[in-house]
Amino acid sequence: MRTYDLDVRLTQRQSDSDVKHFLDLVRELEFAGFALESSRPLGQRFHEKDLNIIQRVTLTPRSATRLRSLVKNQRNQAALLVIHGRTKPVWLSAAEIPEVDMIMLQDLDDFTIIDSQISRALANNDKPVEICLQKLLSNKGPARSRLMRVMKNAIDHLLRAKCNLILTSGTTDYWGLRAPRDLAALGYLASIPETEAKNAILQRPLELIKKLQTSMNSGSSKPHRRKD
Amino acid sequence: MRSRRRYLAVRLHTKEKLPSESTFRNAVWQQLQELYGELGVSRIGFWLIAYRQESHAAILRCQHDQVEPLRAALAAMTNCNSTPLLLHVVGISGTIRKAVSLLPQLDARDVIKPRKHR
Repeated sequence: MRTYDLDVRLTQRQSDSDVKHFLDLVRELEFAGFALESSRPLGQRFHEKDLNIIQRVTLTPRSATRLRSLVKNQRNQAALLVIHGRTKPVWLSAAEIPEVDMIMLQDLDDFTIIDSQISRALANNDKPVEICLQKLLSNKGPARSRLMRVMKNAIDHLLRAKCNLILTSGTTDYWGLRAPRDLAALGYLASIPETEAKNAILQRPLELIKKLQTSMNSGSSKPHRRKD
Repeated sequence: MRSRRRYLAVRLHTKEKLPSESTFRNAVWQQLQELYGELGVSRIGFWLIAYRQESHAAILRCQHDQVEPLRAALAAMTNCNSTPLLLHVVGISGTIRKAVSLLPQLDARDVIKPRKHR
């Protein structure tokens, strides 16, 4: 089954040959496409016939009030709108806003904040939770060990509340990308059970993409569309 | 009783020339030790069966119930001797012969040694 990596952060500075090289790897690793972080509409070099590349915008608001105004402004800009909360009130508000597509957990502090109350709010509102594994790759030694411990605690809370987890690479270049099944294996380091990790990369991203496409077609939002 | 094993067919991506076999073996070993310690590595039963620089392919062995830890360690590897490295597990098999068939760039005759008849 071909799936999606919903968090790719290639910088605008990447040359055309770097982008081509990256896209070739995406094909080789058998992804159906990916979500590219970009505040502007995606350029021509990301219009590929055999890959579905969608624009993603991540918001990092400081307060719950700011979150609502940011979501209002940005909703129409992106196909995939993700919230990186950092504080408990922001996580709780983000869980309740229907325009938010996904919640992102990445840093040590994010995983530390997650508790049963936030987990229940996310599960009750059927909000998918992105677990970005980029820090597991970039950290080494005690920092990675500590990250794995807090990830385990947070994931225990999320799984107990029956939240939908989505695993992503959060890659910034060619070397950070991992095949879908290898990403699921990385979930082992974060104590995600094997079947849950497989669902989190092989099934849930597809479900979310399908949901986004349905909402695009129904015209409830006007995200960036690819010119075919 | 002979222990059950699994063979991981791995494709290696790198910008420069691939490291030597011993450097690669030590890098995987070090990665496993960092993540699971000596006791964990002994349970995994890691062994490098084949490594071909020119074909960018390798076959690794582990105990049948330790595939996930080894796979996680390989996915967590980002470099070897300061050279960026990406390891892609193409497939897993219970026999070396099948693992070789998962990597078309490998020559089966080169990897599988003929049995000695007594």
